Amino acid sequence: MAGIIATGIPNAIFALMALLVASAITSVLKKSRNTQFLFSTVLFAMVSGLALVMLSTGTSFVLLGSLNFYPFSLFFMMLLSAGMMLVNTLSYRYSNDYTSLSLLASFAFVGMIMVSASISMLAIFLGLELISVSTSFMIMLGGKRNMEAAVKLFLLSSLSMAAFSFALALIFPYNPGMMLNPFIQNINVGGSYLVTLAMLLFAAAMAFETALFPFNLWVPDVYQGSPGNVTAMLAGINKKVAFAAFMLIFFLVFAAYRSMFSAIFLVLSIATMLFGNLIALVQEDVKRLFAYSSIAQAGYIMIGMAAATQFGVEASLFQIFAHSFMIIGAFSIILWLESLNLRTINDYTGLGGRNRYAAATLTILMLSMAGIPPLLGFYGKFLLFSSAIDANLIVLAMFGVVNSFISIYYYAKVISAMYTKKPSEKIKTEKLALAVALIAVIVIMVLGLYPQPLIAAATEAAKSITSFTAILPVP
Amino acid sequence: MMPIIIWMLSVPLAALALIFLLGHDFSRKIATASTFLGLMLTLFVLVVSIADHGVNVAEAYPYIGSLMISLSFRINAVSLVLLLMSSIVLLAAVIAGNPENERQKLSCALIVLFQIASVGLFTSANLFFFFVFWDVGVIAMFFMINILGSANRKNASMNFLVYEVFASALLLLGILLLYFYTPLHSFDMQYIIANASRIPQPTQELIFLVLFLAFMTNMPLFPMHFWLPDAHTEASTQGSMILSGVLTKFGAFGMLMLFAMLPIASKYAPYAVVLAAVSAFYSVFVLMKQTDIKRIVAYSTVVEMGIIMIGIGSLNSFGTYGAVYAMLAQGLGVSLMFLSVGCLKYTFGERDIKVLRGTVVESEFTTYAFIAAAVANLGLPLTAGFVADILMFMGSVQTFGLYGALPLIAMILLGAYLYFVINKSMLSSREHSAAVNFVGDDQHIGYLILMAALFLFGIMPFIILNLARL
Amino acid sequence: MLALFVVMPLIIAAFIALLGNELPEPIKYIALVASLISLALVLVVGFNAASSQSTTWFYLIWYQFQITTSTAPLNMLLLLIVAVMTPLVITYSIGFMRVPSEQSRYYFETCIFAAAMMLFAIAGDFITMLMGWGLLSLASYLLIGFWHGKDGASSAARKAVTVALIGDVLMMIAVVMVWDLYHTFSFAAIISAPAAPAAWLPLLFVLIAAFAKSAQFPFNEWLPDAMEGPTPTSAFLHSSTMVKAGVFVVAVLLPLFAKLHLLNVILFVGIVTTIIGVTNALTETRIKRILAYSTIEDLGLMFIALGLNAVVAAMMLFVVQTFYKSLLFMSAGAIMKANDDEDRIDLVQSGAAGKPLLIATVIGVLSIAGIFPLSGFFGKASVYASAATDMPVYLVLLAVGFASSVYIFRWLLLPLKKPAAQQSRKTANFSFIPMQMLLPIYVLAALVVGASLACLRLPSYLSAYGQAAPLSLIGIAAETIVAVLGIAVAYVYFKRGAKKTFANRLAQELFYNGVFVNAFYASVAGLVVAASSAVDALDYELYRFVKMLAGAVLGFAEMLRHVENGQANSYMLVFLLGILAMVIIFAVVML
Repeated sequence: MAGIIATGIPNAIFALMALLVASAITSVLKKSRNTQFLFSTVLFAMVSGLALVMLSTGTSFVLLGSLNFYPFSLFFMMLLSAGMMLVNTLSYRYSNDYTSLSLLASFAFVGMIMVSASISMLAIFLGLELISVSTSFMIMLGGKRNMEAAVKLFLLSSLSMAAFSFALALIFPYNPGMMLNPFIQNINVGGSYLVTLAMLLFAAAMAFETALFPFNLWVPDVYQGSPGNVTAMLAGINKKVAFAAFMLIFFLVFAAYRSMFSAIFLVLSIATMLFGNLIALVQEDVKRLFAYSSIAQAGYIMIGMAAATQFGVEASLFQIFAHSFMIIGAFSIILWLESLNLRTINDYTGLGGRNRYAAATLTILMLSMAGIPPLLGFYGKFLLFSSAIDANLIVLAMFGVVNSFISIYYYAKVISAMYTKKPSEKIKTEKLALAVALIAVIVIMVLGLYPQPLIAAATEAAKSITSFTAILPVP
Repeated sequence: MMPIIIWMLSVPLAALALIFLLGHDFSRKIATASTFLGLMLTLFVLVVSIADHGVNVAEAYPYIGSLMISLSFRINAVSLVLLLMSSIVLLAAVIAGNPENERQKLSCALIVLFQIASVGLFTSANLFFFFVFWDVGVIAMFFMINILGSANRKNASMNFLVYEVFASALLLLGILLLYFYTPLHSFDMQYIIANASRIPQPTQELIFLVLFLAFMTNMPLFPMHFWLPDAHTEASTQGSMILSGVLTKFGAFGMLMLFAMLPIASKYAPYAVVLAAVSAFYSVFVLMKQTDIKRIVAYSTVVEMGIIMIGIGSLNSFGTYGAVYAMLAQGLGVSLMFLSVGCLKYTFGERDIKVLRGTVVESEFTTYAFIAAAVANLGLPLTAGFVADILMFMGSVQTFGLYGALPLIAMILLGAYLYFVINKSMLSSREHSAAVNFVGDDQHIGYLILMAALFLFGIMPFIILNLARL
Repeated sequence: MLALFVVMPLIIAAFIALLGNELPEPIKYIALVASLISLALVLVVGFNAASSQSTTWFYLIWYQFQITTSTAPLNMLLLLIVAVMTPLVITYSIGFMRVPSEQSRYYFETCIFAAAMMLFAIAGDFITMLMGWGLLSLASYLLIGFWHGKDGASSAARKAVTVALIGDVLMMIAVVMVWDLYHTFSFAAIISAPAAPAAWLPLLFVLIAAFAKSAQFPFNEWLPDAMEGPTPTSAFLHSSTMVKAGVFVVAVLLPLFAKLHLLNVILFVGIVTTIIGVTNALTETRIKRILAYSTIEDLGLMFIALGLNAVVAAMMLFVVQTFYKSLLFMSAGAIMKANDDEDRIDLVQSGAAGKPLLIATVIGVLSIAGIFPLSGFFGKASVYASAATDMPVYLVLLAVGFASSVYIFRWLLLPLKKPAAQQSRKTANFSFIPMQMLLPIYVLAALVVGASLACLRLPSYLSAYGQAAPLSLIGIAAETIVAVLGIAVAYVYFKRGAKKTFANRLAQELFYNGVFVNAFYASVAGLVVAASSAVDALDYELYRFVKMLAGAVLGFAEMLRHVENGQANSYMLVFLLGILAMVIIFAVVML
């Protein structure tokens, strides 16, 4: 069985890439939304399924000498393509210019695969750039109103990419191939300062991408200013890819400097959690509220990375998976309601009576984000706090727990508003948006009751980057 | 031995699904069946345990192997008592429930959800599931207050949720610390009890502080009690019955376990007891200024919980079993009080003792039910409260001498005020309020169930206490 | 556990009463039959059962909680009294309580009370006694406030139950503390065990609880107010049975009190209470209240006897007081009934129809005054005799005896000034007093006379508890003279209806001192209310503080959000500053 897969998979991948090209061409030529939608959905589903199969059978191989498929990258591929499938559905329903958007999305998707399956830092750089530029354009496709967000994203991501390339340049002497190889610690003193500087710059750049304080000031504006489907992608997918890059760089390249970067991450994590949760307390606009909420969630994910152990990475990966689904599901409902001009918490009042399904799914997703068992979000937080304590970072765990407590307030505010009695006319159910949300809810509830498969997958993925099973020898 | 705990959990789970599927008309019947079956199963365990001269039910199923969490349950004497009490209260809540009969489907669904949570919590043998069921219960109660409550429910429910999630956040932290600092990482309660002495001292202190704070907020004790009166004022009758009757016992149960688990608790027990006594007296004095009967009953919960804490803090078997029996007595008694207050409000449209007069004229059964509940809470002999008080104070005097018995004085004040309320609003009929509605047989059955239980456990405490016999 | 069976008939009757709302008629007779069965059972049990029996109620781990019953002579006395009084009172009630809707509730409460009293009487350990004690408080509350519509009944009930609560709680505190010292609840075991010096405190609490129950100073004001209840209740609870529960407890535990030097407390409180009783009785104007103060005086006398370690004397008074006091209450009830419940009437002028009643009443009055050969004489004489060695106390007792005669004849003779037209109707009304009310009165009158014989046998019956002080002839003479003097004074002053109160304002104030005690209660209550207001205000402030903290967090968050000013260049600046900050921090840390 493994043999068949091992030989069949490279072929399958080639086939997929062919399909990708075909769909891109078709879309440009035929301008048919439905075909494009069908193609892309099938494509994403197949990639995700393939990655899942490979992950469960434990195969790993290197494609074309530049794409390394091992549990970590397979995990992300599975997640990202599932997420892209959902976002694609939303875009199909709500975007003005679906075909162009889907083309850009495919470019972004290529970038994502490049990042997660990369073996060199340059590949990460290229992948991230590809994603940012595509995303900026996707935002612009929304119309004149979204121009500001697009420009902000573009400008600020250029700044972060500049930092990234500077950091790359700094470590160039020590790693000419820019491969993701671990540094040896006892480089001479001068070198070690530069390494630290490089590490900080990488951290800054990645912090920008993953929306950590104080590099995340762009997030609420851009999230609010983008069309809903792109926001879903930004929050659910882009951020997760950035986390992948983050992990790759720090756990592979700077593996020997664990204590140092653990301290950096600890500070970033606490600051981010507090920033996100506190400001979310006073938000009235729902989209912005969820933007701050996802900032806070990024902070939680950083807890696992601050722990800097295999368990910590496993916890972060788990939460990445969980949050991705949660936020895409949430934004699908928000997007649906935004199209009906319901933007603030006030507008959401009485939603329970107007459309039961929207209110119920949003409630479940929010409860999951707040960390209420037996939903998936709870397990994520549980694992994260466990990993912090395991690594003896009790203070971090305390902050995490306190922030979790703070977050319940604004989630409950929204839930409470939704279930207030207010006579108003019913809202017709928007099937596609609801379908996306329902898929997210089902994933959360099913995995919430039986998280073992996800934990196993995350463990495998974490093991693969913390125990260096995937490092290629320097040529 | 058949997997009875799984049955206890599956029945309400199935009922929950059925309620969602079958809709409004059947919801009440389904919920009644579910809680009734829950009670029957608990009684079955009780009978078997009496025959076996000891409670020993345990089940375990694998769950998440990598973290060593298994789906493990056990029933011991303490949890059997609490299961019994919660099933009686839930049954009474469903049957007697809201006299207004509104939104049955939602209230029945939430009660069944709460049944799952309470059965799960009292029978869970590892801390992980303790936490899971705790949160489920809190959320169920949040929705009960938020959607089914009265005018100011939004604020009250948010208040409630903030305090309770604060408690559960601390609980999670404490549980994780316990997990990681016991030698062989495990959530299993038996294991932790056996090995807790090996946790390093400063960590033990931290864990104790965190968990004490968490359970204190839920019980509640001064100064974390502010959520309770508002939550009760706004909750529906069923909500109040379950909130004070069962949810507060989560914290009390946890407190009991905390003091049994950590050796360092004995160092801090005197402080905890002082805090509890302060809480009891404080609440009694605040209670004497209240005019809304429901608030009065709410504060009486705080008073009783303070006294239960004193029993727990005595750290001897009298105190502990007295506290458990007191949880039983108080749960039943306060549910009966809330039920009768709810019916009074429904009957007369008023809950304020400044306005309500002579309820005995038009609403005799309800008035006497309230009086029965009040005297039961004050420890009238032949009710469960008497046995509980005797045991608890025997325990506390053993440890603290005269000072251990002094908190009983709070009962004088509580009793005096309750009798004042009864006199002013219920048993004096020179002028009497007019009834706008009448409660039906359902409510009467609810009264009878609770009163029968109170007197049964007062006259025959051996039913339960002989289980703890050596 | 034979002894427990005596309560069964009453409990069954109580439940029948509770459920038989629709059948007011049979309930009464069922209750009566049940009480007679109980009486029979008492006679059977009492003289056949072993002295003390225990059964296990429940276990706690290794400790057995037991229910102990005791049929020792002391217990049997009380049990007999209760068993005899119950049918009499129920008979009386059949005549007195006429409203059909009240029957069910009344007989339920009365039967429960009787059962509780019997349980209390046969108690052989603290737990059983405590159970009876608590139930007595509740029954008393319910019966005092029985007439919901009556003005003073509710507040009287409330006052009674508050005092009773204090007693209950103190008793429970005492019980748990005694257990802690002796590790047993059984009376016999505790009395025979060597006295632990630390036991003085719990026993002091027992005393205070007993004082509360038996309306001693400073708890005495609940009893006069309790007269708002139905007269059968006053005759039953508040004169002959419940109020003596405190005396009983002290009598049972007297050896302990002696060992722990608490007898002086009992003596002192008894004296003060007795004086209060007579002074108020002399100045009170409502007939039932006068009798209530008289009861207080009787109880005070019993405590004096106990304080002098004379159990036999106390018990003699205990027994005889039952009969004459309940006799007087019942006739007061009959009088009030005949006059549509007015409080003061002229019994003497009641004419032929009221003659038997008048005779019975006079028998009772003479018994209180202590005239030989009525049983009251024996009771009081033995109390005086026990004080024979303690001259100051003896003199006080003589003064009290004088005052008793005065006030009780005042009670009999002082009519109310009424318009002539109404006076003539009185005679007729007396013939409408139902036989059920008169029968017990006659029975009690007979008992008052007949109990004298029993008094002669009592010392030997109670020989296990101590010796009775011998009655000296001089003492008897002195007491009789004092009593007759009192009668004469009363006759002279009150025959013609003058002087309901003292002419001297100061004397009136001093003598009618129940008002002061009530004022004391009011100030205590006021203190508690003030404390409550203070704590409530504190609570409000604390809650506001907590909310302010929450508001501060939100305020801080509000401030924080202004970091997001929407300007991309400021974001970039922050980005660079962030990098700079990180670098600086790490530079500092690493160096």
